[in-house]
Amino acid sequence: MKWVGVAMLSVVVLAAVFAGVAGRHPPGRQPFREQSLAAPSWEHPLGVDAVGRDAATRLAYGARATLGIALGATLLAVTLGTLLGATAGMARGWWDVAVSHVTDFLLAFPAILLGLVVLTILRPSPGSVAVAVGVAALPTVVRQVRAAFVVENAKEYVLAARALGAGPWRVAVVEILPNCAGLILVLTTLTLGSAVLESAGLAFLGLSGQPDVPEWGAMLRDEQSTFRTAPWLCLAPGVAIAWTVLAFNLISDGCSAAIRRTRLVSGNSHK
Amino acid sequence: MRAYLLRRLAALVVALAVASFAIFWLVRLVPGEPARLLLKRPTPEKIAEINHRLGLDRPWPVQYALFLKNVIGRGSFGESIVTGRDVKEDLARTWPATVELALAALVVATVAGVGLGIFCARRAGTGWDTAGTAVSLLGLSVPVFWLGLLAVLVFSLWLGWLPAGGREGPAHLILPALVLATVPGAFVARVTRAAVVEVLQQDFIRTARAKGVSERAVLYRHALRAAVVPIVTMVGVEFAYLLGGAVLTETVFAWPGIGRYIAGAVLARDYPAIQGALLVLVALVLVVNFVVDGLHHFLEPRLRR
Repeated sequence: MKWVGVAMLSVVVLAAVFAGVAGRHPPGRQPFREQSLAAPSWEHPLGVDAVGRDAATRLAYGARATLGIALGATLLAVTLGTLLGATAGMARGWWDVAVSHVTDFLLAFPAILLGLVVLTILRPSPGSVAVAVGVAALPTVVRQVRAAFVVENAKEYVLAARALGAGPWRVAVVEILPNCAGLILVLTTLTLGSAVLESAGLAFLGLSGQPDVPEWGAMLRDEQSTFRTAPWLCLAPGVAIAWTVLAFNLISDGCSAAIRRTRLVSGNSHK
Repeated sequence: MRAYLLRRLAALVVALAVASFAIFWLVRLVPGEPARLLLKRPTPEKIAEINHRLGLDRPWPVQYALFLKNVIGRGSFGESIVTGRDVKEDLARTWPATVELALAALVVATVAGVGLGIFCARRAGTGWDTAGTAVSLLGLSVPVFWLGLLAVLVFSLWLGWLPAGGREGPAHLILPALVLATVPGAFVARVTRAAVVEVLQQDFIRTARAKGVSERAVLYRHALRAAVVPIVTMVGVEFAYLLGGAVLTETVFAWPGIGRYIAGAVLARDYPAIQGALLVLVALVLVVNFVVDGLHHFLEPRLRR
């Protein structure tokens, strides 16, 4: 199933990379104004939107914006989350108590709400949406990485490293971190999927700022006004979001299953 | 049990106090002055007036004390900057709508999710299991607001069966509840499947089968009873989640709940409204989690000691 996800994702990545080549016009232009709201045809496979933009072209540019926001958010969540989770799991004491309590508290709330809270502080823009989504994804990453560090920290190879005189930083970065690489990979793919979904949601609410950014959620928001007369315009961005999120979820499911299998195998060999 | 509940109650109060402090600080974290963002043509007098109305012209401990006094003493969060009404009135109108929608979605999600989970667990490893798992994965991947738009298109505009939005009667609840239930339903299905599959592999199930208990009784009387604790916990967590997660669904269906209110308030930078709505949502979620934890404790004999 993992490879199905990879194949699905490649389509989106290709669209994002070649949007400039394959697109009919640059993102800011509206060259088909006379054909406004035209139904899908050979000329315009997904139709023309209300202000005269080729919907397929816009969708391809949307892949760029959407993936960009999701990547930024995930980078923030995974790096900061790993740092917080690792320090909490290693140091224990008051720092661990504080980090654990705050993450437990935040985990009770849906990401979209946390994102909204972050966006009350920031000015609406695609970058702000990325930050909001990244911060909203932090608690999950922190909790998982912390738990993994606590477990690994109690193992014999860490004790051996300590006995050889390794300090806490060396233990964390050289010994434990490589053993958590699988978990971090799963968390990354999982966060990428939820980031696409949540940034689209926030953009749909109108919080991505500039109205002409072709982010898929923002496109759905625009298309809502012509929803009755040209419903096909609403179809494509939604399918694109679901397609991309499903791709990430399949990859993450596949990765976590693979890791569980290797864990089982190596666990048996220790006995 | 009582000692546990008292301890959890104390934790609840502490969490509420910390949350109120964080929500109080939220407005003060806005870079620049909120007044400048709110006004189209900021003049010094207008800025001073808004700052005074938000209470931003006093030292912060005084502001926090006043904030608490207003919230606890009078249940007031101040006037909404956009509507000019007391935020309390807006919240009193919106929160029952959100709870109603969340409860309806919870029922749908639980029935459909547990059903699908058991369906897959009984057929674990077969094509049916794969298909069911795919359905739940799809449910987690589809954007709810888009699903909502499609539902309106098909059931309201084309078929004309159900109203497209608003909250005027039971018929208005059907589409939003179904749409809102997709994600939690898919989650419940995954948890149920995993829990039942795990229980079915245990020794007491083998014993039950060996002594000739019918497969139906094994599933419903033995396996499901053992799997009920993780499922109940999951359902409780989902309810807390639904209360705050209804933002998008409420927006699509013009459902007059807290979610739509808070989204509008964030867009308009209506700080008193944001603070009030957040505080009510946090309190609702914390109370629901408290009840779920108590229930978990009650259902799980191993935790009672």
